[in-house]
Amino acid sequence: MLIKAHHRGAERAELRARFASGSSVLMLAPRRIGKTWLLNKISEDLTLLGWLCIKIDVEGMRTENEFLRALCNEIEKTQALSARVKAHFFQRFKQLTTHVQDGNLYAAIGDIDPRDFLETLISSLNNEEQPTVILVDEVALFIHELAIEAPHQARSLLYHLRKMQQAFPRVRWFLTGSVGLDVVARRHNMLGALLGIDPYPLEPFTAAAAKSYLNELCANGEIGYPFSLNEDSFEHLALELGWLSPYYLRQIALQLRPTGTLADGQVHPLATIDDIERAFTQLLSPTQRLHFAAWEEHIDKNFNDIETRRLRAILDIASAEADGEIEATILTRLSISGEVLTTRVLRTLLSSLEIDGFLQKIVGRWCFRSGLLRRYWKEYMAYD
Amino acid sequence: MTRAPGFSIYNQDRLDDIDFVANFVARNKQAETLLNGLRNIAEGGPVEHQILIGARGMGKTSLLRRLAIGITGDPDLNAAYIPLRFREEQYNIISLDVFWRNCGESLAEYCEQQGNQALADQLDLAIETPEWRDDAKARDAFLAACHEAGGRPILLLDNLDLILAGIKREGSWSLRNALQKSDGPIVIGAATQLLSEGADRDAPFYEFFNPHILEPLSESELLACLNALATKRGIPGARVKVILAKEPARVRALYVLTGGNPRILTLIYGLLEQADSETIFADLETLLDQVTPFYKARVEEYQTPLQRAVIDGIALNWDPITSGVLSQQTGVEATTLSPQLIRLKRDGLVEEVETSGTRAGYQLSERFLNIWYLMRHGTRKTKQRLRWFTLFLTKLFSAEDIQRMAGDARSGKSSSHPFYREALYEAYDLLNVSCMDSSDTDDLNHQFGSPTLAPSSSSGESIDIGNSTATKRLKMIEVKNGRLLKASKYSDVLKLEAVAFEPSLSDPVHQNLVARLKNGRGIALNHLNRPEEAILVFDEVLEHVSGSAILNLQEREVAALVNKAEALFKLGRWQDAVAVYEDIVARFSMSDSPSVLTMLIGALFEKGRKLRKLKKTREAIAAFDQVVEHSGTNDKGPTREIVALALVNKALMLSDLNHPRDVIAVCDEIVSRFAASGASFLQVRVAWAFNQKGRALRKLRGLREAVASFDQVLERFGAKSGLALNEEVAWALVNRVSTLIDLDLREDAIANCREIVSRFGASDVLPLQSRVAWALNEEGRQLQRLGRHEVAIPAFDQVLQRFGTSEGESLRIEISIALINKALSLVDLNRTGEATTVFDDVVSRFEASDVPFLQGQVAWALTEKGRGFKRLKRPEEAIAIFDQVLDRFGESDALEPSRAVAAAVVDRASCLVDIGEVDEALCSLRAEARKERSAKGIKSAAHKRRMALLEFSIGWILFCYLYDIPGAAAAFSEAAALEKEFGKDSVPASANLCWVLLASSDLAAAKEVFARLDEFTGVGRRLWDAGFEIVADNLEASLAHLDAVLHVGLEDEGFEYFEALLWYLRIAAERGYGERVIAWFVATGNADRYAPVYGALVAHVRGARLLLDLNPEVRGVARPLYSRLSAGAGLQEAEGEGRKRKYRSKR
Repeated sequence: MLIKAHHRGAERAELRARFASGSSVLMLAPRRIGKTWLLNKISEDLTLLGWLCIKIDVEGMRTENEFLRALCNEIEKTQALSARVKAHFFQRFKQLTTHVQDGNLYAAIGDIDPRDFLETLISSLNNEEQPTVILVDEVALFIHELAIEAPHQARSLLYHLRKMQQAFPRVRWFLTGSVGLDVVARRHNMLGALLGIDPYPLEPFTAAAAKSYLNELCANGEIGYPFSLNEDSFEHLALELGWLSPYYLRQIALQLRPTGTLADGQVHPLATIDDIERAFTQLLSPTQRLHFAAWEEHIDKNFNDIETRRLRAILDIASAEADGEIEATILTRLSISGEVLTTRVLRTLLSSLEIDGFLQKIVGRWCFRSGLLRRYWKEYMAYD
Repeated sequence: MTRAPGFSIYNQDRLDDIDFVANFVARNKQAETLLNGLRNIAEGGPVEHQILIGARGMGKTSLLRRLAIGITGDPDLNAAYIPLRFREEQYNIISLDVFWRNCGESLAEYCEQQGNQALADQLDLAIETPEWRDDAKARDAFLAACHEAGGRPILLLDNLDLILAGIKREGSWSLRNALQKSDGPIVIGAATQLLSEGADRDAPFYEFFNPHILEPLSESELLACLNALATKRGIPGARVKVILAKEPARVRALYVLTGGNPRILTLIYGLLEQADSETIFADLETLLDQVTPFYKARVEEYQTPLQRAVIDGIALNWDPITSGVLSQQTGVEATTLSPQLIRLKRDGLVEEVETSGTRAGYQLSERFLNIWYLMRHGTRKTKQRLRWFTLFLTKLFSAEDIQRMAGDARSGKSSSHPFYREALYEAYDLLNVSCMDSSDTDDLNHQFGSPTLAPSSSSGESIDIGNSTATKRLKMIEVKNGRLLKASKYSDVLKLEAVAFEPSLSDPVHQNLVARLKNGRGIALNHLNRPEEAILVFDEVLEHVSGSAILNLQEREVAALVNKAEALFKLGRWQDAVAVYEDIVARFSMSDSPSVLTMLIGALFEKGRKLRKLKKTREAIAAFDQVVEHSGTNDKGPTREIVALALVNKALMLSDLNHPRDVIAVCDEIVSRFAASGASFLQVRVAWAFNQKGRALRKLRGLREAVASFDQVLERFGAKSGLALNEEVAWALVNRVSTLIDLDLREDAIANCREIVSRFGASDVLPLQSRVAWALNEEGRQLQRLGRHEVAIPAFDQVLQRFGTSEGESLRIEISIALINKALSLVDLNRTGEATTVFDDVVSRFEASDVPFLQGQVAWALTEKGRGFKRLKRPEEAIAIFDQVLDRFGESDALEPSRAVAAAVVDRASCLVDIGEVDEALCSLRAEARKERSAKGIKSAAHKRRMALLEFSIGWILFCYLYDIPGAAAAFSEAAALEKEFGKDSVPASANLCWVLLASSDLAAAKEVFARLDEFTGVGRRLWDAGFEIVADNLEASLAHLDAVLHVGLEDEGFEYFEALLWYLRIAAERGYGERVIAWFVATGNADRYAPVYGALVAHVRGARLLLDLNPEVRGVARPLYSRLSAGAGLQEAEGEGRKRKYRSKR
């Protein structure tokens, strides 16, 4: 069956190959780019190939035990697997048979050291006939939250995961995160734990994938006013959007009211450049701010006060013009506003913004990756 | 360099150009970049205007002046440009025309300096005309004048932001237009902050100037600058170079306190060159005095009480202070403080920093200003905090500069590796013994002729056999036989028989001659490796002559037997050979014939020699005793010489068996027997005996008696001639030198060395030349020990000058030693570049040699070169050099290279640890240890020493960086066991093992190990007591011991216990006492006295973020301590993030 351009065929094939070769993968990408969708697709793909897939979302979790409960919950869903895992536990923790015999695996979590528990769990999965992949969505956020409460614990958990990767090769890990896990790891001195996990950056759609996606939306009736795009109008949309994230493509599509004519061979009327502009304006109206809240939240939640203030200040500066500013200009404007930074500190902050999808560097100039986000930021966030 | 350049700290213009350039060391890279930019423009490249941004003291004004000098000093740049300098603050600029008039004045000054007085005068007049009051006309007039002066103007504008503020927006647009003209001026400006105009899209100078930010110097940059200054200063700088090499702790501490400010750099240099202070705190006081006028003025710029209160509050807190705490301290509302803080931030006096909490903290931006403020305005307590901190820095950096790895653990200040020194002594011993051996044989053969040779017809007795034709013919053949044997023409000897003689051995008339010929044939066959045939010949002779009463035939019989024994030895039938000799003794020991007796003694000597070669020591000594016994009182002729040689050989064998008293007895016998003889052969033996006796006395530590024995050689034979005697005299002097060194009479030893040179320096004989070279090297080495490296180097140079082109192996060895030692002296004098050149010379001279010792020298040269980079804190380059050692010699089994390889592996591992590649360091050490363990054969002491070093290093990394307790325990145990085996005390390994066992809570085992370490009393003992108590959960008792330790300090009895303190704290924290120990630190005042340790402990117990609450000076020191405290909880980031690189394993 031909995979559509926007169904991430190449990415899925590559990830399948990596898992098949024994690797574990850390997929980092900004929000709204389709990580979770891809994670789910990988789970489906591998299940079809006979793998055992255990999928959990750890966003919002703050403790190791919560993490373990989520894992156990997933395992419990497959009865046969659950039985085997319990047997394994029974063998290992004879004195705690009460919970296990009662069929309550995760009730035993509090009684057993979390590391031992996790290791036993993974060991049992390693013994399964099928290879296993554990898919953990938003792991960076979890580690970050855990590190705030108990940095040692977060660090040792990451290192423990690494040890288990090495000790139990039939269990792979697919970790995703929208915050840079390497940034979190560096902040909390855990960089070494990431050695051995393949980083896999997920990019936005290509032009072809974006077109394919929009076509599907229009064809499936998901859009109230389906439309078609010619080269000029698509180019304008792509330029203004900047960053072809599926989420924002969909939002634009929902706002579009095509006024163009029906071209030969097309089913839907053409969306003109003006139509696209109006859609953007609409998407940037106050009632639609919720679509961008995650970006603001990202800065507020994942950095401390000083970093937050500085990052916002940098984004304020970069949002002023589409072509952004050079480093020296950013430094100068920051110092004028009272934020006197060294070059090194500025570059660290710019790097964070680049990794998290806010900015990109083109010919020495730091500019917003997404024109839409830039306009939003300029409109609602930037101080004059 | 004919005179030392002067200094000026605040006003660089007081220095002339030469002095200024000599002092300009900190920003050479930036200067070169900017000058290259100008070269590019001159060659048609695009024009770029530059601006230098940096806080006060970062070197902006100096860099501008340096550029001016660089332009005028370069012919190409001078032809293209006119560098124009201005007053530092051009306060008069209120409009653009004023700016152009200032440019005109600067141009006039330039013209005057260049000798163009006419144009200078013209400009002086023109500037006053109305034309120059119109900015456009003034601009054009200025550019025309520049054209006339012959160059494009480079405007070196300090405080460019003030200038632009003066000319306002309209003027700025005009100025921009002027600067954009194809022949317009080029601006290189300077400012303390980035230009706001540069960031305003609507402003004229938006993105116009290319900024160069001048950051504070790093520690290695500071060191490089100080070295450069010292070099330029010539003789006065030599002292500083030595300080930089020998007192790196002092320099590091000063760096931490002064924060890399280039203005302070020259102050630090001046301090090192001129001051003889005893402590870093005294250094600090001197520096602070010098900056007081400058900093006082700086602070007094802020005149309102509120501003002063804010500055005071921030500065005296030293650590970052939040606005909330500042408000409490000053009693001023936070809202009132806020605008003050903003103003101070804009001025660059104060900066905002992250803290462990959610609120930002404030601290002074210029760190040395903060230090000054603490000392000048602080309370007694704040000053005490600073005093304790500087004291802590001294001890910490001294401890870190002492190599922690085993091998140099106790005396890291030695300039030559202990392995290397031992190798030299062993090598000398080897040379000494082998020399004696060969001369024995030569002399014997020369003086006596080989006993295996049958006595020729020219000696000994013979039967008168008349003068018949047959007889004549036989005699002629026999004479020819003798000559051919003497000439070693053995094949021709065999051909003689074909020419031969009809009479057989049965012919009684010619029996003697025939037997002589037959014996000759047998000897020839032996030499031609046909011993079985030889034996047949000898048996044939014996068959006919055995038992004869005729003297000649008895001699033939003895000769046949002796040569038969020789053949039996060749066949490996040594017991049969011994039996033959016994037979000779049995038959002829009672002979009246002197010649027979002489042959007997010769035979016994030969027996002894052969047995010695077969290492049948007891049997050989017995044979030599037989020689002496059977010589009786025969002290004449060859017998004496054989007896002398027998005694010499016996002494040598007893020396091999390490029986010095017996050696002395034998030597005494040689002396008593032969001292009165005038025969040179015997005199040589007597001299040798005195030398050997002296060496034996040395072994028995009878050092003065040894010297007396060597003196006998000098007294008796010092004035004699003859090579062999001269060699003995030379040996006596050599041995005397070594003994004087043992007696710690180094000056006398040096004098002796010089005597060797003066006596034998003119000799062209290799053995004596070798002694001369040795003496020069030893003189240099002793001067090194006395710290007189400048004088040591010429001694080594003499070896090179005298013998540098020699091909003799012993001299090449001495040359290699001279080069290595010279390089080590250069390292000690901090002339690292020259040292590297010398190390490279060793490599290029000897890398093709297949002599193991010289290969070892090449390996050591590379290893020491790598160590040089390590000392300069350039670990990547050091690693590259160590990799060369491993690539070249890693597979070598020879002793010397493998020693260097082990040292290189350990040092390489240390460098890898420095850059955070701990895993790789461990892998390489383990690989080398595996290789050593799998080496075949009996393990020598040197091998075990290498193993011990490797295991110690492995243990160290496992414990300090990975906290792998079982692994560390195993490694230290292994190291301790190995060290015990070869006699070295195993203190470092056992001491560390004790801590490892405490970390694993095995108190009993720790105490057992500690019980074997009886040399710790003071600080060391108490720290262990603290450890024992904490593992026994007696916290109060433990802290009492700790208090005593911290009160005294962490150095005692030649050991330093800093690392042990960290181990103790880690153990305490792991046992759950972290918070209580923290509280104890505060309550006892140790939190201030040991601020970095306290800061690290708090971070370890409560979280790394707490490090942010420390002031930068303390934090910089606390951070690596925290890393070591928390080792093993996860891999730690390297200090210096950008340098991380994966290194391939060398095994």
